[in-house]
Amino acid sequence: MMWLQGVGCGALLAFAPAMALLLAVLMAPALATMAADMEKGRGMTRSVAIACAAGALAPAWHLWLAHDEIGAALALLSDPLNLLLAWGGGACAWSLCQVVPALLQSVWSVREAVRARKIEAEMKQIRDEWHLDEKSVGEG
Amino acid sequence: MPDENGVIATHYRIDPARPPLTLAGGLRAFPVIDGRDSKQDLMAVLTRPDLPARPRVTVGRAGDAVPYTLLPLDYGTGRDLSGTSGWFIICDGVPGPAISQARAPWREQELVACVLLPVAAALLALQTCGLTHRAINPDNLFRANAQQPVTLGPFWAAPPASLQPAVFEPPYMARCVPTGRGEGTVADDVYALGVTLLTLASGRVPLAGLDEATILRRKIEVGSYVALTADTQLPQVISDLLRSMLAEDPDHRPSPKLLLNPEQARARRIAARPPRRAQQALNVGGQMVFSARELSHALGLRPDFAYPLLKNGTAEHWIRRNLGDPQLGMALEDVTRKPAEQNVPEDARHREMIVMQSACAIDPFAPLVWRGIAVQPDGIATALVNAPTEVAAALEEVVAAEAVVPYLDAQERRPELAAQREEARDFRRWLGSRGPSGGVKRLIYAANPMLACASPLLANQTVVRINDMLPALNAAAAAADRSKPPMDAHIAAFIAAHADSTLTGELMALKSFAGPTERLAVLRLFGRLENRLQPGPLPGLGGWLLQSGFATLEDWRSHKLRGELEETVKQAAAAGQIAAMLSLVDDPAARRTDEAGAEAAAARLRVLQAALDDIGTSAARRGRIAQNLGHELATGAGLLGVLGAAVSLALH
Repeated sequence: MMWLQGVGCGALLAFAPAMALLLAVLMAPALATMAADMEKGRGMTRSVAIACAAGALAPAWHLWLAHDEIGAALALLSDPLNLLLAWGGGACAWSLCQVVPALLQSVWSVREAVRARKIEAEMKQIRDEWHLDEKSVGEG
Repeated sequence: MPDENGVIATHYRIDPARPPLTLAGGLRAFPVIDGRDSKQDLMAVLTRPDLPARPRVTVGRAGDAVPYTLLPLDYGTGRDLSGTSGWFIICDGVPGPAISQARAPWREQELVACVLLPVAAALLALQTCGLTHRAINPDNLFRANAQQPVTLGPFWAAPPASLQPAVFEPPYMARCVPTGRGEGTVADDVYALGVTLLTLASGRVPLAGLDEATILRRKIEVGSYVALTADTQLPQVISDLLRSMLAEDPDHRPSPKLLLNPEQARARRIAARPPRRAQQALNVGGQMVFSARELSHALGLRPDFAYPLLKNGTAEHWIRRNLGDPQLGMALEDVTRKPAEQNVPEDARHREMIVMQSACAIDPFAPLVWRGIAVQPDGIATALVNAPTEVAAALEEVVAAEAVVPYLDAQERRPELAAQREEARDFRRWLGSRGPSGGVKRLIYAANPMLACASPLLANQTVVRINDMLPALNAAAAAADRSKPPMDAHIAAFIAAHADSTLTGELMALKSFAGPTERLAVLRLFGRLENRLQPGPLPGLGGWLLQSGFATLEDWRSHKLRGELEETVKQAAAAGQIAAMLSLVDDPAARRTDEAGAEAAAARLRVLQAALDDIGTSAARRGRIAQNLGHELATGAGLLGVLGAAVSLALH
């Protein structure tokens, strides 16, 4: 698949260099995440790329209407709102990828610790009541 | 169980105003007052713990009418005035002092009227009851004053003839260990009566001052009459009577019925052939023998020297050539050659068997001899009680080899011993039984039903009947070391011997007293005994069982149930209800419930353990899920952004 991506990028540079420039700048967070994301499936890269794409969609449409001129691309890139939308979206996606798992882990850990304490208490009660040791439990 | 000093068998109280008596053989007797009839002149004879009373007389024949004889009227446990516990037998008081205290020679008429006739009448009555006296001697004959007939003293408080001096016993009885002389026959009583008459007529005990072995040897060498009457001037009537009363062959002695007519008895002449004597003696281990009876005696005394003489034919050759008795030589050859023909292994038991059978073949009156120990077949059980080690070892071999059977095969003249064949099998079975309730102790208690249990756990308590065992243990509990079990081999064997066969399972389960199964078996044994005997509350024994861990609930699984049960068991122990303790500790339905509960608990534990393990191992999985969820959430938000941007562009 890597070769197909390479052909796509090459074609874009050859036939729409202004679009390639615009997208390269606006999607820069996604590219940076892709370089750092070594996990299988690259879920974080995908999330950041989609979020950046949401911010890059409107400038790309305006560039398309301006017949893909370099000047139009530079003008669009010089608009801070476009950069803010694309890069901010990527930043939000990255943040969600970091914060949500940590939050869930914490909640789940507390819940499991409470459950483990309940189980251990019940086990102790059973052992005390029935004089069961590890061996007798294992034999059963 | 009487607790009060001086009280015997509940009803009898020792009279402190009258001194205790010492009877023949050292037995002690106490004048007692019957609480129900204080006018009766009674005495209580204290039996010795090592000499069991004669059960056939004490229990079976109490109250039978035998003239001129003190008979047991009642019996039971009790304490003397010092508090010593014992087994007492109640009888009429002695009419006066023992006739041995009068040292002057008696006149002929007085001997006949006051001794011969009343004792013969008593022996006749005893013979009718199938009993013997076996304790006739001047120390055991009593009378109030001169010209009064004598009264025969106690003969039931010890094994037959066990307290009898050897001089009053025929040689074949005197050879036996004192406690192993057996019931004997009325002819043996006639012999003792003869020696008693001789003692009274001469004013002294014959052969006094000589040891028993010398007396026995002299009797064997020259015959009882000659040995005892040598150098003694006797009235003609008495001399004639003694000649037959002291005959070596019991069949030649007059019966009690004949003795009731002294003139007829003295006129009776038995043509007994004098024993053959050899010119040249046979040396048996240093003892020179001249007659068959001497040879038999020497063979029994010296079995190690005897066997080679028998094996190489020296004894047989001597009998044929020197004694001139080919018939006896042939009988001896039958005994010594038969095992060789049958290829019987020549071990120690075989050698003893050959010596024993040879002694019997040579002398038909010989007792059963084994390793130099002589005993009558029906005296083995009593001889085993408190026997010295070498005697006990020899007798155990006799029982294990059923040596009584070949002995009896050679004793056709003694039909009264036929029952001993059956007993020999029972003895061997008891001796061979295993566990603490088996072995020689079982044999001793089973074969001596009047023997007191010798367990040290009973302390100062006497137990002769099974009914007294639990109350005795209950009383002994106060001073007992309660860390030790209230059960030992003596008690186990005693119960096995006296209880019925329904307790066999519990007795077999005893083995030791350490494991939980054995401890439960002990509790079961006591619980069943309590149910059967109904001895009343036994709080002492209950506490003892509880404290020594014999009513333990340790192996119960449920803590809660155990706690509840322990409280109930303690209450039952305090109330002295052993059977109730047993029903609580040994409740099969409750046990099954407990086991089922424990199994369910174990299963639940396994489930919980699995859940706990899962919590430990699922952290990584949860991390991955959380991460994926974060990614999906961000992707979803991004897609919404894309959609929103597309919609916005479309609208503009």
